[in-house]
Amino acid sequence: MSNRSKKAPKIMKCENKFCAGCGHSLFDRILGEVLTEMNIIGETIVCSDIGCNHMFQYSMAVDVIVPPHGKMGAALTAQKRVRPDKYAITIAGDGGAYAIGLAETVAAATRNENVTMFVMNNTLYAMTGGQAAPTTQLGQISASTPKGRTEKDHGLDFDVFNVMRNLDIAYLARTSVANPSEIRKTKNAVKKAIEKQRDNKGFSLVEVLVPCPTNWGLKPVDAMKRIENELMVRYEMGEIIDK
Amino acid sequence: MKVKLDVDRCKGCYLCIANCKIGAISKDDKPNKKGVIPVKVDQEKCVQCGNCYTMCPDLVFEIL
Ligand SMILES: Cc1ncc(C[n+]2csc(CCOP(=O)(O)OP(=O)(O)O)c2C)c(N)n1
Ligand code: SF4
Repeated sequence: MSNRSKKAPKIMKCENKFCAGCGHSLFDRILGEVLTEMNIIGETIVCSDIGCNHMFQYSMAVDVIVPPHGKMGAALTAQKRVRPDKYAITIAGDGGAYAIGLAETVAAATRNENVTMFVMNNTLYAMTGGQAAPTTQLGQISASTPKGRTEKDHGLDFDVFNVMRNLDIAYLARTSVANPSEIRKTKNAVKKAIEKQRDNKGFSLVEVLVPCPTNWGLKPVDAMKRIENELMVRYEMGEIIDK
Repeated sequence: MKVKLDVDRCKGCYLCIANCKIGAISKDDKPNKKGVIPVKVDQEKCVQCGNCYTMCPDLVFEIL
């Protein structure tokens, strides 16, 4: 074994059920590495949102509860207040966290609850067949915007960080999984977000730009290029709040 | 050996090929158990940078 050795952590117990090149599977391994390195697997409960993102449950050996779709802000709040001895973490989708669950997400942040949200932004509702979400970009073709999103018919896309950045929260960051350097940044942000909760600093949210090659109609390599060339240009990247 | 592969896990996204900067990874000839053409690594060329491990969604790679 060299000092360059790298092996998937044991928490990744079997093959995952995601499509080829899906960003959710990359994020899950990153989270698995962080939970393993921080030695907190047994002290963590993941609130699973509904969406393709929920499939981490099949391949990760970690305790999970499954609240109603989108209500992660409320569910994490309840979980943390009932079991303050456990890390309260969610893996959520952009549809869950920013559309049906927008109120709960922002309310938990407004209260600066000591919980951690990881939001997988793939710019649409993947599990239900690729319909448009608030994050769907202008011009983007989706199942419900077959000619592309237009301001006239569907409104402008919504960047939740425009609201979040003004709140008194502990940590806010946006990263991606588009290349090895971004994956390292994501891992760093995941670790810092969980450390904020450990240190009772309050609410932390990391949005990760992830590809959905299946619903984007792109090959996995081209889906990563879309993140680099379009989404990482459109969105502010990096740490925005770090208290 | 520098890198060990579990080729039956490969779903054929080929993110590893795109991110191996020295071009040590290529498609294999025969399909794996999933019916997917997996990848193979030129062990001589490999510099153990770990990019394949980092970019593989399916945990195919172990850097030894
Ligand atoms: C209360 C409720 N409304 C709607 C649904 C249907 N539904 C299942 S998954 C999903 C959205 C998935 O999109 P997203 O949250 O972005 O996650 P992704 O699949 O992209 O990972 C919806 C609307 C549901 N399960 N429960
Ligand atoms: S449909 Fe998209 S988000 Fe869902 S598993 Fe496939 S690639 Fe991933």
